Amino acid sequence: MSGRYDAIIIGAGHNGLVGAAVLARKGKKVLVLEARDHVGGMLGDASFRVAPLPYALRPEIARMLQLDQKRLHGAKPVETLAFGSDGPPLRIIGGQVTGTDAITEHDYAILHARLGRQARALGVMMLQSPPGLGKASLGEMAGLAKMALKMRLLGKTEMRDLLRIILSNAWDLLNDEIGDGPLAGALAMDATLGGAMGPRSPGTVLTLLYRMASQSSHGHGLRVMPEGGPDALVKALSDCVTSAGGEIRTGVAVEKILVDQDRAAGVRLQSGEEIAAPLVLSNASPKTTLLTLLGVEHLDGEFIRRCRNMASKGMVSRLDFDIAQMPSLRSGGKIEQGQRLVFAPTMQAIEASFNAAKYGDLPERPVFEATYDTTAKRLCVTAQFTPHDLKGGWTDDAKSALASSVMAALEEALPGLSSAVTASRVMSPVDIETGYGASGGHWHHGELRVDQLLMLRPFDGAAQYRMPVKGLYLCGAGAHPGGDISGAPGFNAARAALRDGGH
Amino acid sequence: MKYDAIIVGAGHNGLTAACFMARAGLKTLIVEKEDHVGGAAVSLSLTPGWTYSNCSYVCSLLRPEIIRALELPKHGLQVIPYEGGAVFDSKGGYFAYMSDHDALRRELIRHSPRDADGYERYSRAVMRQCRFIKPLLLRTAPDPASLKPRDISELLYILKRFHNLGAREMAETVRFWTMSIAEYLDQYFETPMIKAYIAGSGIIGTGLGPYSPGTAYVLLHHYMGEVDGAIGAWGFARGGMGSITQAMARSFEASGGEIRTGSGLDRFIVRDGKVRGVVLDNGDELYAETVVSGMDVRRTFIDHTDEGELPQEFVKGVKRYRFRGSSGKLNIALDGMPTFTGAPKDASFLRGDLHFLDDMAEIERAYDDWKDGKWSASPYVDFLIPTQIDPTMAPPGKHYATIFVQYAPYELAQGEWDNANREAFAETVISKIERHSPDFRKLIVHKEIRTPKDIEDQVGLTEGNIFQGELTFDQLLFNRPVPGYAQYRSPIKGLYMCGSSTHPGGGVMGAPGANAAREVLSDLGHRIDMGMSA
Amino acid sequence: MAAKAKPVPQVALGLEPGPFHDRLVAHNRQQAWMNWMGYASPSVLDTVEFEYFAIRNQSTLFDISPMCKYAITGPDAESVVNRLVTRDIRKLKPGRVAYCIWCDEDGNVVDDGTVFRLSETEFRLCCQEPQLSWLEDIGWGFDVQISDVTRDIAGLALQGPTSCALLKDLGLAGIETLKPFGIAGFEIGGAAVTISRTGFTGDLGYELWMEPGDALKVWDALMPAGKLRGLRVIGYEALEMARIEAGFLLPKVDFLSAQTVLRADRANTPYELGLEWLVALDKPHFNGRRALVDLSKQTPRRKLVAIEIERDKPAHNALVYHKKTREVGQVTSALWSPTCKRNIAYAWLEAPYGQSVTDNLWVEIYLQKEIRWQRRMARCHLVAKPFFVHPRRTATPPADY
Repeated sequence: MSGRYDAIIIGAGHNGLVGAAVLARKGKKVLVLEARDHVGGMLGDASFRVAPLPYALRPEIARMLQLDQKRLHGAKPVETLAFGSDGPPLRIIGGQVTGTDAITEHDYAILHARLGRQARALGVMMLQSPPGLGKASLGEMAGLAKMALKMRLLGKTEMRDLLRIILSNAWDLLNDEIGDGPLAGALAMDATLGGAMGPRSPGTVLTLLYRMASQSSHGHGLRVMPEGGPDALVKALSDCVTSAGGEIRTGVAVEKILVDQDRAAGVRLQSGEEIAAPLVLSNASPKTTLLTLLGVEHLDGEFIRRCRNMASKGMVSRLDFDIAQMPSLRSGGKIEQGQRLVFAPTMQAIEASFNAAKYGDLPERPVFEATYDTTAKRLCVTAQFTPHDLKGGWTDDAKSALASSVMAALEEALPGLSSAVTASRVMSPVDIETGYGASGGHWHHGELRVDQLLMLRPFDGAAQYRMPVKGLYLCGAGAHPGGDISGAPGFNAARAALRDGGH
Repeated sequence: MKYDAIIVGAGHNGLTAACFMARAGLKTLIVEKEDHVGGAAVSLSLTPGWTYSNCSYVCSLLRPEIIRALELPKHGLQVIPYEGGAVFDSKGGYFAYMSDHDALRRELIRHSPRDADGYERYSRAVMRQCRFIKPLLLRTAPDPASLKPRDISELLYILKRFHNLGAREMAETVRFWTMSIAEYLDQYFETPMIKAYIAGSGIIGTGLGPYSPGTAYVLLHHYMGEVDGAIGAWGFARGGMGSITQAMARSFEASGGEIRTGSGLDRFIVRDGKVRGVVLDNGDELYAETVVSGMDVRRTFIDHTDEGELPQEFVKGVKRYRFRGSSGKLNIALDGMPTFTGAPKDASFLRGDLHFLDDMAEIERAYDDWKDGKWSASPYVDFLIPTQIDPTMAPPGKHYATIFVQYAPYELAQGEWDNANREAFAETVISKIERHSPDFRKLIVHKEIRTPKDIEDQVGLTEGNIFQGELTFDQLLFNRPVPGYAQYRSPIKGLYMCGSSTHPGGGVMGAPGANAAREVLSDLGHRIDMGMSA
Repeated sequence: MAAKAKPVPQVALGLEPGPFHDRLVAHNRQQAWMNWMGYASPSVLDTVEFEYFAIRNQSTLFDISPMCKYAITGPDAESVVNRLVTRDIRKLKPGRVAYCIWCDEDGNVVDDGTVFRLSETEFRLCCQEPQLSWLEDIGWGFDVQISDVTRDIAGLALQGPTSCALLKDLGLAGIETLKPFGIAGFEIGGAAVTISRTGFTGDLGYELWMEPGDALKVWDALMPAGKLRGLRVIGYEALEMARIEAGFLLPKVDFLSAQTVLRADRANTPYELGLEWLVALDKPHFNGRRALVDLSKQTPRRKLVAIEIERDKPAHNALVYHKKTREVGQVTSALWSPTCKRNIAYAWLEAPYGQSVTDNLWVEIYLQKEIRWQRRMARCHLVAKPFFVHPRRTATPPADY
């Protein structure tokens, strides 16, 4: 075996980097191994990004890693343009919306603030190890107690309201509070993007609250565009690792996690090289980590069954269109850098496009969001409800069918766009699965649903980051609290490892 | 006239509450708008010789504690378990559910040995959930936002029961309460027909499809019943479901209660925030310090109460409360026993619930139609012929078919529920059945069509929702019907709710009525044993 | 559209006939059948006592076809079986059988059974409860085929002191050299029969395995040969007496499979069952190992013990008391042992009883004397299992009678 490390991190996605940075800053000698030739995982590099418009890292993590949050959150907030079936798009920044009537503006501001408060109360759990079922530690109980207290501090009415809606669907909540339309459509996209649930599916309020819990200098529930783009965030994180003495190797794929005496002992690379370390953190999805890298021979049958049963059917395709000359909006004006365009005219439209996906078909009218990179002249589209298990498979025909239905919707808002396209590419959930170690091509490595959250994330018996083989930890989106660019799973996993090591 | 208590609505919950109150010595009156008691548990004769269970049609959930406490068997109730059930697919195959465990195992093995094993695991998992939930049915849900000792101790009771399940089962319980029935069944079964057979129990009466999270719990709502201790078994009430409410009415009258049918409620009389009685639609004024409404929460407070008497938050909550009728029904008098192309002759499983399905996706597509404001083009039907067992509902040799249909919307996206659409709806169902039973159509002597609109108009269930409101988590336990008002009391002193829109919800269970009576009696200072300790 | 083809007939209701049914019917003078996995299995054929004594004195036939049987084959078969059971199956040579238990991830016993190693890559598992999905879970990700062969193999237990002689009379050359837990192939009545020297009686005995189509042929060859050797067809009740004496536990009676319990605390660990000798913690990972490592360091919550009771009335369904007052456990199986002439039973005792506290234990026995019930406290003592084991069980070659 070559070299000596205290810890190996498999995968240089943002969670892997956060985990590595936390360990490195505690004096651990860490090695990050990345199969791709660049770091950043789904944040990607100039050639392609799965997640072109991230949410902000948890502020506590950014502070601990001494990151410049102002820079990372960008000079101005990301504005959402929500396109209806006709007319100019609504413009949304946090709790402010323009382009609709005064009553809706008012109701939306109230709703947004309320969801923010409720999300913050639940958000207490984000940086806590989820409590063990039936055997919660004192610290975990304290975390729960803190959340219960926060919920009480919301006041009786708001607490009851939270307990009422928490397992409910975005459809009912938004219809009750603001009515259906582009605004509800944009919010319902927040609630459903990346998952296999439509706005009518119970559980989508929870995913909405999950997104609302994200914090940035511009407010809660917002995406951010770092100064210098997503690369700046990736660089900041990898610098954290290297400046603390950590090592990052790219272009090296891990083939197997080595086990000795029922303890993680290091990894074997596809090249055959073996690297020893008593601590292994995996940023790959739980299924990949456990069933492929570790191997079923180390696991109990029931555990494997639960792992296999984990819902992780990816629904998102990413499309890039290189544009010669970006046309103006039909309603006037140009698209600007750092804007987010949402094409989900109503919740009804989102639900309708989910309908097809349930049966393994592509929606006729997909709902999607898009950002335009004015320097690279690239329109990045994130299309929802394009199922991993597409009937007939993800053939070139299927991909071009998806591209043209997306383009048709874009063309309505941006007349002349289709003729300005110079190149395009489609990354299906299957491509994302093979490219990023994410089973099912799922963004979050596993559906964000009550039955797969907290002490059940990724599944019963594998929560709390520690895997049955001692010294092996899950640090990716499959672990609590889940996906998006929060950094929390990586942070929590590293802390769990440190705690076990007596640090 | 002055009474100790007036109950509005002689449905099974109103009757249950009334019985307990009369037994406690209260001078109790029930008022009912129809000419007969029963609400959604009725047996009516619409064509000579036949009796229909017009609305609810099978019996399992009615709590045995209530049957005993109200001496319903003495007053004429007989519940007979039915055997079997089946799903027929479009290729001529069937999966038969057999009550005999060994026969069921053989049938499962015929489809898949793996599923035979899976069934054992599945039924134990569901049984464990039934064990957990059963004691909660006849208890008042605690208010988690309250600091009253009673709420805290009740919350602790539930937490303790939950904790006693052990770590694995706690996880299973969270999953069970939140998962979709489809994904839940995928864990245990591979045969589409078997999954489709079971999945029906997860969507009956709801505005959700089998792929919607939260439907596994609805399954429990159909499994937690029992017939003589056989958990999950279903039976027929001899003489139709009306015999349940008839027995309750007799039990009530035997305890000195009084029933007035034929005139419904106009409004509650409220003075100084306290209820004083009711005014009927015939103008009669009746007085009582305690009034219990068996109607759903919207009817009670929006249609029959002056909004000024109620706090705004409460009114908002009531208006938001979701009904969403999703079910229709056909009651059909048959000239003889229909035959089924898919079934072997004299198959015993025909004496149970029959369905015509290929897989769960077919149910989900039926749900998609409903979302679009259409009745399902290929609906899920729960089809039973009780007269194979019950000799009282049709002349000898003739039969009665009860056909429950999921999904049918309350409001059609196009057009109204006029006669043409009602007939077209019935035709969709009949032609689906006819594909599996070619002689079915020509055996029809008479039919009753009940769309959600009809159910609302004739039975008083708002939007035709059979549970008096959706069984989703935002409307269960301490959320049912309105957070903060989930303990049968309303903002108006003396006015209580006892319908299915209160915990634990719908189904001919009687638990809401019994729970409400317990709360009423405890407010009046009665401490009586209702024979219902868990 | 529904197809024109004739519908599949409805599956049979009630009990199914097994491969030996036609012959069993002829012997079953009591017409006393019981349900064993849906098969009609005789409980008593004529008289329990005579059937029982035939096990200990002559030889007996009992139909064990309803037992669940699984074939586990393929390159990874050894790894998978070793993952399944708690014993180190790598030590089991082809042609040998091992009694095993297997546990869930929490270290609770799922079931017990016998593992037959038919060759390097072929195993057969015989057990009481269906295990297909359990086996598939354990084998998932391995190069192995798992199939339910319950209906493909008929089984007969030939047990008793004269069983070897009987088989020799049939011309089974070398049967006397077959050691306990050995397997060998023979021919009986023109049919191929696999014979294992195994059984549930603690006595000399064999189990005969054959294709269901050959079942009656084999039966018809055995019965005449048995005439000289006192062969008797027996039912479950007689076997049950022998199995208690022999120290075997019965699922659903003495313990519950972890898969079937509704209450989490009803499942039992090998340490509670006194089966720790079957657990090899030092072999590679197997199901439940991590939990068993922890459990091996703890005092069991309760323990299944063998007890001998003073006086002569069997302690069916009895509660066990300490100092006649404190309830500390209950009896699962009880028997007046006709061979040992002892009053024996298995009982669950809650810790520390049966572990650090072993004296002053009493069982409460209810006796019915002419429709009047009497309650009797009888002192009991912990004893070692089994209650009965005869040297002839293991003697090779067995004595020739």
